[in-house]
Amino acid sequence: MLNKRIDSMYEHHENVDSSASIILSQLASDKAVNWHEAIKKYAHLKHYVDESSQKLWFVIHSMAYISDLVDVIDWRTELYSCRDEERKFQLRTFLHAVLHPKGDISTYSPSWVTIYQTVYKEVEFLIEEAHTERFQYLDKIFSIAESAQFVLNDLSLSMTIPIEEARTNPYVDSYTGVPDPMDENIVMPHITTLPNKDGDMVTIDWHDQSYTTVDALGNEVVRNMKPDFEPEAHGTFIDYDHEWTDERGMTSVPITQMNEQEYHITDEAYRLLKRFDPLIFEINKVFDKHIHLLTTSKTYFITHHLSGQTLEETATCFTLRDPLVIQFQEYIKEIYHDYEPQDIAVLLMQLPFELKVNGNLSTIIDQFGDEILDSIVDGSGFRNVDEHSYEHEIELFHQKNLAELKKIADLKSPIHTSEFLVSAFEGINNGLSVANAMNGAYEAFRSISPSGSLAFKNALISGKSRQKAMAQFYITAHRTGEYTPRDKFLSATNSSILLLTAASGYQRTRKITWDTLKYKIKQGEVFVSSSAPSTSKSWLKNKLDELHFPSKLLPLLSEG
Amino acid sequence: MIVLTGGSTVFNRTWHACDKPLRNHGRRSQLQFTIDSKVGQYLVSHGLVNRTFSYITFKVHDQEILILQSRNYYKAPVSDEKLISSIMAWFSDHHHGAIVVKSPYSDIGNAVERLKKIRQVIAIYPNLISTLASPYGDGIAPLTSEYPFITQPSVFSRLSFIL
Repeated sequence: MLNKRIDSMYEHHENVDSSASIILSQLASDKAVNWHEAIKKYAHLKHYVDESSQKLWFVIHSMAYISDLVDVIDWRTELYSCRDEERKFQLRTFLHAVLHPKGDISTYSPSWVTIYQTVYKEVEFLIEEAHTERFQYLDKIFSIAESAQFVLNDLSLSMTIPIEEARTNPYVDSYTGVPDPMDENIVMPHITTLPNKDGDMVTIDWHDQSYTTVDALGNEVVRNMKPDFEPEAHGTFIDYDHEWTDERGMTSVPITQMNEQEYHITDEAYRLLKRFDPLIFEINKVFDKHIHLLTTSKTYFITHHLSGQTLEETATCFTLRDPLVIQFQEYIKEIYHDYEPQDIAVLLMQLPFELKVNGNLSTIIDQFGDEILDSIVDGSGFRNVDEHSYEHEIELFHQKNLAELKKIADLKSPIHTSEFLVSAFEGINNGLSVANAMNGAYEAFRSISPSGSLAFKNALISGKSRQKAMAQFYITAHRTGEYTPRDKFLSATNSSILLLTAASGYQRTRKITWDTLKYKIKQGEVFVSSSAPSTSKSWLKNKLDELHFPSKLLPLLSEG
Repeated sequence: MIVLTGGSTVFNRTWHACDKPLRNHGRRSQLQFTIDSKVGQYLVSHGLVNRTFSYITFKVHDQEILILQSRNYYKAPVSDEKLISSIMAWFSDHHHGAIVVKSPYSDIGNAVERLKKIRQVIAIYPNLISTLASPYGDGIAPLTSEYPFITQPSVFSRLSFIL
């Protein structure tokens, strides 16, 4: 009854539910408090001066802040994976509102470390406050410290760097705690000495905008630094005595890099070359045909001379009109984008003339043609070896060859004797001319008969020709029985006989009569080949019988 | 339309692998010479000598010419696979139109069987994807002898061979 009265008494009192204890009981009974709404709803608490109201006001604010931070963690996680631009902007706005950074919202994307660095001091203050005696009971009800610690742990787990590092100001010496300005700004010294392009040391005073260098005469001079054409580019150092750049205003380093790095052919080039091999062959044929016609045909000749071009230029004009070349040109334009430009360039460079496909290709061929061709790797089976590398093998082959020649050497003919052959080959191998080598070979051959070679020398001394001296040699050698060349029987008729002469190595023939033959047989200067047909041999025997040639001398005809 | 079959060999800028060249009183006809030079030029300029071209169409004096590839090299035997794929390439590019192909085979007794098989393979091909692909897996073609009912009269009417 009394209570009812009291209630009805306070019914019209507006501040009936506004005292701190009532609010506290309301908040404690509510399981999911919206702290932001609580701030608005119980805003009058800040006007109350009693301690319990002030404490409660602090708690409401702290809890709102902590719930904000919980949201920040969610938003940041979502921002990483979000693809929707509108939602992204929304998230950025939320983050911006809580963390209050400087800078633009549209690109705002704080890292976990930044978030931690922004909030950790406040949160730690909250934890400290909550642990004090003042908030002892409120902390038990709302568990402020626990929530704050939870947020802090969550943030530090999300970071990619250790907590200590994040908490340390990068511009503060972590050991002494003294701020270091050198870390903050890199200070250039006023005077620096650097090597220039040529390797000479140049001292630059940035303060006076001057530099010390060596001029063309070798004297040390001080010059003012000239600003570049752009007024904003202060202190651009241009040393006109030792320029870093080439005349065209570009440094050579990028050009070199461009040359080295670009336009190396790909594997596709080899396939293209193989594929268009017949085409290049045909176009070469056409070009050669036109060159040939220009030098032989009268109409072509006149056309060429009227044009005032070189032979190749005119031939190129004619070849470019060939339907094969036109079709090829069109096809290259079709497939141009399917291949790398340098691969197409390699193909075009195989042609004997310049075939224009487009300006880009022409430029590439002009500027990088050599380099593109250099980058072609030859097939593994082919090597360009210096001819001297075969010297050893050739020498071995030569020695073996000489040994074989000695085996098949034939004493019957002078130029088939082993002395002659060996000497001739050695002379040529030693770089003598053929005539000199032959002379040396005959010299070696004459050693077969000492008396003959003496007669040869005497004949030469007495003023006879070389040919007659050689005849003297044969006569003397035959007389002393040291050497006799033997002619080969080739054919015979009733009137004459054909012999293959020994002096020519059985290459030339000589016609003699039967009487001469009989004399030569007696001297042992003729033989019949052992492989001659037996019918021919018997015919010869009968013929000689008819001529009354003594049959006991017939063995002199054997090859021996 | 004149349909010719052959390989991709070229000699002296001239097509040198026609299976059954056009003849006039027993000699190679003038049209055949023109065709040879045109095809040779095409093959050389497109880098297709001794390679695969499937089919070539062009016009000589308002006369349409179709060249179907049946082999690669000079004097190589006719390859059924190459001929089938060339004809299929033409059919897939030309949805309406019929061709009469002169048999590229020199052996008449064998030719009939081989041509019959080629026709069957080409006829069942459009059906494979729509009706038979799923039960047998992608790209697995059932044998025509096993499934004689899989034939397409439309393709049969569009493709015919003469000996």
